Amino acid sequence: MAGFLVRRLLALVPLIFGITAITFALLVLAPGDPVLFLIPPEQRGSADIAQFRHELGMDRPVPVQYVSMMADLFTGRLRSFGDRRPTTRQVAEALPTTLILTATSLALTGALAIPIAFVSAVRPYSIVDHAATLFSLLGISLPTFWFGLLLIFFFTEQLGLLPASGIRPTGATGYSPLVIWRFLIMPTIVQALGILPVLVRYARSSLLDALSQDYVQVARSKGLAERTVLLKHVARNSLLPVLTIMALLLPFLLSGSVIVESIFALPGLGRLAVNAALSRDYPTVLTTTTIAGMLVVVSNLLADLGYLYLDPRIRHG
Amino acid sequence: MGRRVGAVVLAVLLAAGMGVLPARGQGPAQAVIAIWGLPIRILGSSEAVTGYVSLLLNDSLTAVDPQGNVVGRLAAQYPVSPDGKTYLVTLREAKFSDGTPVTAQDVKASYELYLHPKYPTTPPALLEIAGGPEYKAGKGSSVTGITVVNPRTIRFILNRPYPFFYEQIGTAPILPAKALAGIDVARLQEAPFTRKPIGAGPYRLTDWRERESITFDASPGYWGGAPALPRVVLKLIPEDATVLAELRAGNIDAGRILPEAYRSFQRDAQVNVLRVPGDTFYWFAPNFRLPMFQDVRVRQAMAYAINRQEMLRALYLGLGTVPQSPIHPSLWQFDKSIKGYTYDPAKAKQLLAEAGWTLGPDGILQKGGQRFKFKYGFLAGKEYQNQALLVQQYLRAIGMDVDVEAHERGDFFGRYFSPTGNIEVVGIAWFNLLFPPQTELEDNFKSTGSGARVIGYSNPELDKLLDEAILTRDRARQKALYSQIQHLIIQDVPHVLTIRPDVIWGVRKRFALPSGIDSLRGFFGSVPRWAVR
Repeated sequence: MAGFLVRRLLALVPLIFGITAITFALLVLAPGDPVLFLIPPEQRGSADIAQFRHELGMDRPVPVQYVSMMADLFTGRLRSFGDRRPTTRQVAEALPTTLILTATSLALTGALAIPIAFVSAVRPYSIVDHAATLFSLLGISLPTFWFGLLLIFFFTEQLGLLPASGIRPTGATGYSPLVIWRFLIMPTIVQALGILPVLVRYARSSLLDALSQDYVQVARSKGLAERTVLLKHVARNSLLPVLTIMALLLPFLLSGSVIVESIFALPGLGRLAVNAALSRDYPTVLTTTTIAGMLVVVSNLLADLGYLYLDPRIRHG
Repeated sequence: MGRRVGAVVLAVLLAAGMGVLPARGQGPAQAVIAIWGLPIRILGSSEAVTGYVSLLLNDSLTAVDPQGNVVGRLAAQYPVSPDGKTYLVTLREAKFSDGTPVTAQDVKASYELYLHPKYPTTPPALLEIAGGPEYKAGKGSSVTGITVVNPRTIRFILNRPYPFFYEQIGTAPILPAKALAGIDVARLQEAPFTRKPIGAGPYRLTDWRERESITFDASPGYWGGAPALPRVVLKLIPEDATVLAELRAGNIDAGRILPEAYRSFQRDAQVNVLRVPGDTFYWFAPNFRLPMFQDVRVRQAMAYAINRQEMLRALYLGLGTVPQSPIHPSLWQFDKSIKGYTYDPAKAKQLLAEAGWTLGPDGILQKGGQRFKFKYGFLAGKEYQNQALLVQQYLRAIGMDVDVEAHERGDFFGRYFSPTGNIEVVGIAWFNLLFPPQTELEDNFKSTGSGARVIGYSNPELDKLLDEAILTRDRARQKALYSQIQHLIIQDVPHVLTIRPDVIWGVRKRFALPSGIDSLRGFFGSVPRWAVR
């Protein structure tokens, strides 16, 4: 078990360097010069561009820039080109919002997807199943942006029930659930709707697959109550692929929430990363990419640990 | 049992959640103003937003009133010697937000900071102080023309009579010398002061949350008396539609309104709508290094070809003006009598014909075997793109073959900041009121200006007028010179001015705004005077 964990964590190192090296290469290859972009407008004619380039460390060969930035990143000395603050601090400020929204969206998705899939799988091709299919198709088809604005129109503008911007009231500190829950309702629904249909479809087919297995027939023929058969034998076995899908969806939630963050004015990682990429802030882009990569790897690791818990064959094999 | 516990926890959470939300009208009176971007730093940045925040935090020696007259701010008396070169300022009794008094030493330290060789945004007027240019060039240990006479009095000696000195130093806030002492100007952006500023303005910055909000509380020792509004919160909301919903619901107190929502907000019983000429206007400019743009008739033809009223209607529902001058209409330098170009494609074609361009078989103008074809580059984004597409159509109608090309930010600014950026025609916007109009005009239209150099523009007559305007002491003569400058710019068409969309703000009716707000900068400057009804 310990060996497994160590191996997985060690695999993180080349992976992170691979991701960041490709990201850095793409940034460098994109047209435009970040140094010219960063010079204040009124200095554009007179600034000492070479000096400015030197101050940012951009006069060195590209591989040296990359290695130096990565070294600074892991020692916490890397500073954003934009606001010149340590990038680790930028991320530390953005991460709580992203993690909270990811957690609530995953929780809502899991809480809805599995029961819906269960009802669909137990009564396939029934009205309930068709309704679930229709719901899934709608969920996949609705643009996040439009759906978010629709919710804001009804719940904020028309009914005045929910706030539409920010993660907490102005003046509030911390992220106490007592304070922020009203701010999270709409972003969570929008975020969850983006992944819920995928999960429902996977869970349904996985459940259908499990229901047709011999061991289920055996369990039923032994006279076990249907409830026991479903919960103990079917659910547990069909949850494995669902867990995999949830782990695969995490990157989408962690990095793909920029639209949700923009609509609901949430100060999360997505907006930080996109703004940094648009303004050629190499250090911040590298940092957010590294953090996102690490989060994805860790979430996959958690999914693997979940397998160990759920499936004795993996645990003992 | 478990379910009951869960239900109780949920009920407590809901009840508590309801309770912790600040009820409207409770606590200190505050205004939550939605803003599209927060500043990166408060010092050494030329962002428009930084300028607005600075209006809340800082104060300067002098300012200019709406009639264009210099008024004292931190300066109680500010006489000028008869030769126009010595300026003696006596400070009023004022305090910084940390409670320390504003002294002549603070003025000296602030101006020396702005004149530091590494300081990025030096106000041009400070370079008129004797020793200022040398200090800026790194050749002096202090600015010889600044003398602290006593703690309340400071003297400036200029290199030449410069009538705009008091008018222009209004953009240079006075900061506490003690706080500036430890700043390494070469690493200004990393200095904690730039994010924890201390100023002599009506508010002090009390809370800064990255990409979330900035909170300002009334500064207790402000010389102008406590602002009517004790607390101001600038809240970042990037999405316009969200701003509208939050304003309608009363979750924010003020926010920018889209033209599409203007009419409906005019009928809103809870929101007052304020509409002023925008600080931003749009233009496009040719690269004068390309021979086809060197004939003024060609540039005038381009100006006649653009249907600006239609652009305004199509893109901003008509809520805006057609700019006849690059100067903001709220300023005294603006000449109301100027009549720019009206939409007249026939006149445009006639001018092109006079310049020797004739329509070829493919419907495109040609001269000496060269087709009139160019690239129109713009910053990727909806507003610039919509305009580019319309300009393309208008110019195509007079026989010009225009390729429009969107550049993402890094690429666009990289090109536009560089005289060798290979631009052919660039579509861009200009922010008025960040700098004194003379600075704006010199930057864009004087042959030494950075903007003018990018497009390779030079007009000796304009250079001469701009030099003369800055040295003329008689206001009537100054006005006449600025009028001439504006006429010349319109006639010579270094830029084809297109549209100036209005700025529309909604403010909840529980706030009474002062009258006379005529720009976005004026809107932010008025915040300390908002009264809570």
